Amino acid sequence: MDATVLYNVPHEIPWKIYIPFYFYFTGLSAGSFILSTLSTVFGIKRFKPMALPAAIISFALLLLAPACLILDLHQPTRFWHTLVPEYFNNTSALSYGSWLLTAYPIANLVYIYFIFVKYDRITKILGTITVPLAIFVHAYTGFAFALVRARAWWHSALMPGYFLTSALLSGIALLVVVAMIMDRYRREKLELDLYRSLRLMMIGILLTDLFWNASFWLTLLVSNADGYASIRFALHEPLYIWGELVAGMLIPLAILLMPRAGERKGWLCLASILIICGVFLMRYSVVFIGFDIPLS
Amino acid sequence: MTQVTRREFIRLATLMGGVSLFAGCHLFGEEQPVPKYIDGAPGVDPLETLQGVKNIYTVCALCPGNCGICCRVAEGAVVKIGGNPYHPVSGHPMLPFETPLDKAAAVGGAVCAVGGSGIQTVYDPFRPARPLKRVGPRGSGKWKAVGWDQAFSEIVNGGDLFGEGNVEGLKTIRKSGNGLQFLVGRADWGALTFVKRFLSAFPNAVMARDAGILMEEKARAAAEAVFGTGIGAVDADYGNVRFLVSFGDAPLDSGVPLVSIARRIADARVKGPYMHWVVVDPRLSTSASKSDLWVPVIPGEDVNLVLAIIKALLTDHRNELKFKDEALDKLVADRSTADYAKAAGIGPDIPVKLARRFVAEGPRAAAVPGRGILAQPNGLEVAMAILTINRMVGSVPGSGGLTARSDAYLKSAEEKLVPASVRDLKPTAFGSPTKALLLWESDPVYDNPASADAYFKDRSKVPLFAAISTGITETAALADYILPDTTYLERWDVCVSPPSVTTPGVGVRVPVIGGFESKTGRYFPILPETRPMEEVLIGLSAAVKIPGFDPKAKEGIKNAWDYYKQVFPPVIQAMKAGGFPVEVSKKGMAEFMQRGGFFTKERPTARAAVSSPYTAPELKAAPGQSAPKDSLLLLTYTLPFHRSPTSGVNSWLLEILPENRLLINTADARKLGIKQGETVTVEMPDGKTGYKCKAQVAPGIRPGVVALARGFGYRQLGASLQEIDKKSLAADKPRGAGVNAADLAGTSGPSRVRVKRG
Amino acid sequence: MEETFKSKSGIVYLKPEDAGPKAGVAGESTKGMPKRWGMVVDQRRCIGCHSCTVACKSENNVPLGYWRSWVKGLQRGSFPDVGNFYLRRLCNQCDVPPCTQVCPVQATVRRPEDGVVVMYYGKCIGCGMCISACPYDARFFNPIRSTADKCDFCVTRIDNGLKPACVEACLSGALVFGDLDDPSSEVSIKLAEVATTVIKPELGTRPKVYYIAADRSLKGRIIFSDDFQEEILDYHKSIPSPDASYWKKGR
Ligand SMILES: Nc1nc2c(c(=O)[nH]1)N[C@H]1C(S)=C(S)[C@@H](COP(=O)(O)OP(=O)(O)OC[C@H]3O[C@@H](n4cnc5c(=O)[nH]c(N)nc54)[C@H](O)[C@@H]3O)O[C@H]1N2
Ligand SMILES: Nc1nc2c(c(=O)[nH]1)N[C@H]1C(S)=C(S)[C@@H](COP(=O)(O)OP(=O)(O)OC[C@H]3O[C@@H](n4cnc5c(=O)[nH]c(N)nc54)[C@H](O)[C@@H]3O)O[C@H]1N2
Ligand code: SF4
Ligand code: SF4
Ligand code: SF4
Ligand code: SF4
Ligand code: SF4
Ligand SMILES: [Mo]
Repeated sequence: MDATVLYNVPHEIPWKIYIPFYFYFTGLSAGSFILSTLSTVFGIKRFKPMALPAAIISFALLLLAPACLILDLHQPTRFWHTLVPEYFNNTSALSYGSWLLTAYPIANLVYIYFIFVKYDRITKILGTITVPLAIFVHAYTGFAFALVRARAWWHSALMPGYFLTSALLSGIALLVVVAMIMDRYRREKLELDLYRSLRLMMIGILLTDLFWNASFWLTLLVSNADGYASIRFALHEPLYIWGELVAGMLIPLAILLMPRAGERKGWLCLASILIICGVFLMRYSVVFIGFDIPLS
Repeated sequence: MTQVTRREFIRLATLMGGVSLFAGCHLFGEEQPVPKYIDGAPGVDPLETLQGVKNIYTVCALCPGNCGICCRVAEGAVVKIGGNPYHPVSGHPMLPFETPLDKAAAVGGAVCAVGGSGIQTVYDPFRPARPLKRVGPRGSGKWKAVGWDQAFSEIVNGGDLFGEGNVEGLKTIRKSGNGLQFLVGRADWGALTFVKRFLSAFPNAVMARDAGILMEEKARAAAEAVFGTGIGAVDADYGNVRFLVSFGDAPLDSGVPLVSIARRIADARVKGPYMHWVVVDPRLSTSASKSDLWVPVIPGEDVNLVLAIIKALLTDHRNELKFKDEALDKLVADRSTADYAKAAGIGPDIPVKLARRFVAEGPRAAAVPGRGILAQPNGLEVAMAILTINRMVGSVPGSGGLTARSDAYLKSAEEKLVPASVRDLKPTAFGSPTKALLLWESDPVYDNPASADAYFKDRSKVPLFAAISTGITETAALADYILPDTTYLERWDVCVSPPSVTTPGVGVRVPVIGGFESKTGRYFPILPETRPMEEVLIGLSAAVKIPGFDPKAKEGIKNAWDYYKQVFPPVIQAMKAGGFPVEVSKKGMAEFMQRGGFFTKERPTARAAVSSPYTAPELKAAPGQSAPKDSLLLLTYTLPFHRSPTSGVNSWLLEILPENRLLINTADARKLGIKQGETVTVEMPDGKTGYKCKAQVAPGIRPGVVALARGFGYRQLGASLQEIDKKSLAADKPRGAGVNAADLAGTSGPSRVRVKRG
Repeated sequence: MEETFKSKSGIVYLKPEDAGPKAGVAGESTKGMPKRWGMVVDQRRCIGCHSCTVACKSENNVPLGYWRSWVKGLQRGSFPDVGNFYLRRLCNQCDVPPCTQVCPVQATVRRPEDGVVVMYYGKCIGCGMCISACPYDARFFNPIRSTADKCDFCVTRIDNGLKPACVEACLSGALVFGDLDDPSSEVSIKLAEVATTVIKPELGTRPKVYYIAADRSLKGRIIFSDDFQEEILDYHKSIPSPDASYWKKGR
């Protein structure tokens, strides 16, 4: 049997590149923040030197993220509508997200202040409150996708988890790069142990992310027509296969698994940069492969 | 300010139209770029469409369907075109004439995609807004804006107008008694009376017609040969027919008018009583896909299928036939049904089955030829043979299977309006040498590109050529003068319905936009320097000093309204005499004009009398084509949402399909290695001329056949640069996308082409 | 040129008071009366003529390259057993609309009084979440309004007692519109008499646009043939109309 489309109409993709950047920045921010709290809240002393830089990075990214979001709005001057209580939509992840995006930077700033003035006890309390905020602020973006049943590529229970782990991954990778830069300019060098821990964490999360991906593939391949179509589309998308999977996950994983890679800072740095890019490509392919699949 | 919304644009064009040569280009103080004509939503709410808006009923002119339309007019601009509920074509069901106008406003009517896009025909930014005179050679695209008086005086007096030698003007031509041709396209009844009246002043003037009208003439001639003189063209009675065979006819793609035919067919096939339907077409048209049986005949070999059916009727059903003729027996003497069927490329059982069904349904059966047949070189004869099938089984216009026009009563009105000398002026094919050529509502060069060099550009054949035109069309681009006409929403006319419309009545076209001064009857079109065709002819006549046309004389026709004021009363009187319950009074006329015409179910359609003289077609089975082995047969077809050329460039239509693609069967495509959407070259068998387009690989066409939709590939109408008063005006490239099927297919039936990848 | 435009419209009347009526005045306003508007699209009748598409564009001023409603045409089969299948598409006016669920500012809501999913353009921030969430591709960004936009059953018309523009224009009577809660309405009768489907019922959106005989065109939604290979990609690539950018830059 043959088939032809006599006519149909194209549908413009409503989002521009800002949106994956937005997801990416919130993720990075959440990731770094969690890293910062490893010492302040969870008392893992090894990460102490990272606490302040991580928190500052996390805050800076938090300014970038909403900026991207607003840039993508077609009515940017109306962004405040999201904070009008009467307009609040209790079924909309974005409605919660807007409040989280407001509350989290404020909490984050206060937290930074207290690390700065070295009030460890208050820092711990603040950190404890802000960690869930950080997790939510990123997880909600995962939910924003997962709850869209229109698009099989997004509509998965794994999506929020995948968003969170990859956020953490990108946060760690960024911190590794920052730590190396700090090492260059600071007199007291960071312990090798710190790098080793970060490396092990990255390996663990990369494996988790690969697991998520395998899980996606398998479920979509045996799911309904839409799901099947979406995985077929994804497999034809070089950015997903070569970008996100190979360059962003498999190669860094291979580097990190090399014996004594932790000591070879060049390799570690390369792996981290690849991861940082790979996680961005993951955001990108989630968003745009989702739109590639025809709905009608 | 190059981005304007459609509404803003319309408003500006309406209010400021006068200042520009091209409605759009100068409007915004920028000469070069064409305004970004984003047809779209302004910030205001669409509620605008309900407040302070008037509904004005008139008649569409974008195809020969003459449907009733309803124009919603806000602030002097048409904002929406819908259907007229008072009209039998667009009203579902038709509102009785007595219904008050405010009740009608709540009831809409149907309108096709082309009709709905008419706004863009009217507010086309490329409409010439002033008379233009060429300054370069013909077709060079260089113009000078001139005043009407200058244009009239030059056309009438002649002289060395272009520095190319002396040209005879209309005045001398009139005196010498020879040499004026008026090429008229699809003119409606009212305009035609005027054109004829104008021509009556020129001894031996010729009314030339283009391929389209001649196609309709062929259809009429075929019907009259079979059913008797005076019957006019026939069509299927879609509301009553029980068995329909459409030969090269696509009523659900290009029905005239699509609006009512689509409804009738849908009702007949979904609601019942059921209409059995067979479509004979090498291509799976919308019609074929909705029919019971698709017969993908070999293009051009339809004649054999028709003869096979006639043979089957004469042999298997001889005693049940209502009409036989010796000539028919002779016609099908040489071959058997199966041989004929084989020559047509279809199974031997098909004609036998069709014949059986024809006989079973008798008076309620119909065999109808369409353009796919009429365009063939022996189209007239094949059409006659097809129509003969009807008569053989007892189906005549009015018996349920077929209908004919029902406007014979207008004869008396015509007698009052048109001088006897020109009343029966027969249309002639254009192309014969003349001294002066006037052209109106016709674009023969688009339909027959070869005629550009062969005729229109040739100054020895056409020394003086003036186009009364709403656009710089393929033909108008070759003219010496372009006299800018008003559009169909800016004119009066009397419009008769095509044969498929069974509810009798007459449509009235009235201007829906522009200004009107009731004291003088002067009409002000939206582009003030444009004139209705009638006023152009009045201007010319006045310059020639033709009696009766002098606007300064007391009795003379002063303007278009002055003429139509005289046209409507005799039309209403003729209707009254023809049995319509119309009111012959000022009020009656006002109502007639407000409702877009008068239609009634009360007056039964007169059953056309079928006279006994029958002219049998002279047909021989076409000899097998001796064509190169690797060639394919190219045919053309019509898309339901495209029209050539009048509204083919309307962006709402282009947007659905911006270019035509070469339809090719999947098997052929595989053989030639052509993939979906790939570029292919279609060339004439001589390999000299070729055109590139994209391929549409589909199963719905007979292998060995390729097809192109008509209505694309414009070279003019805004698609190419024009220079007016030394200012070059930008072109709108998307208007020219695709290929003009006529470049390859020619004008007579399927033609041979080669198709290559790349 | 002053006098030219004195008469704003309707120049054809003989006396000024005979000018065309105001549209909409005769239609009884149905605003406020509880209803549940719905539509039946009869694909047996539909001929893919796009009259509805153009009527919708004209009525709602939809910019070039964007559609509130459109028609998908497919041709399937093997010569000579081939058929064309049409699917006339518009917003399904879901009773459980995914689009309103995701809107952060309630700029698109299902009107409780008649079930129509409408846009409040003034509220919309243009985030596009609803566009991604609609399972039917029924929404788009309107570049002139700079907000999301969609078919709203022509609310301004139906509130004034008129039929939606597409329903009025449809040549073949394929579109039936009316109150689903009124058992005597034409839609309810159609629904009671003829088997209908909705698009993607599995999503639980409960559309109020019902289709008759659309199954063949629906199946072409993603998968064409049983030997499903590269076709979804081909399908996606072979949409014959260009997107909005063609119209933006081409002119
Ligand atoms: N190859 C091939 N050729 C064909 C056919 C075919 O099937 N195949 N079909 C033939 C048939 S049946 C037809 S009808 C013709 C159609 O071809 P035409 O008769 O050429 O087409 P129309 O669309 O009627 O447009 C005629 C011209 O009138 C202009 N026009 C529209 N409205 C107005 C107006 O108010 N005033 C003025 N002055 N001009 C106006 C338009 O711009 C257009 O240039 O083509 C014929 N040629
Ligand atoms: N939308 C729209 N409607 C129109 C028009 C328009 O331009 N646009 N034009 C109007 C005018 S002027 C006219 S005359 C009518 C014409 O209306 P129709 O007579 O229906 O003409 P077409 O649709 O051009 O062609 C009918 C069919 O003939 C087929 N065909 C081509 N060659 C052959 C052949 O050799 N044998 C057979 N059996 N079939 C063949 C084509 O595939 C096509 O499907 O349409 C009118 N309606
Ligand atoms: S069928 Fe369409 S284009 Fe032809 S007259 Fe009717 S509305 Fe106009
Ligand atoms: S684009 Fe507008 S309507 Fe859509 S979700 Fe965002 S705010 Fe709501
Ligand atoms: S079809 Fe889409 S836009 Fe329409 S109500 Fe349903 S989800 Fe919303
Ligand atoms: S109901 Fe109105 S908005 Fe919706 S598709 Fe029809 S015409 Fe367009
Ligand atoms: S107007 Fe009617 S017949 Fe034409 S495409 Fe739309 S729904 Fe189908
Ligand atoms: Mo025609």
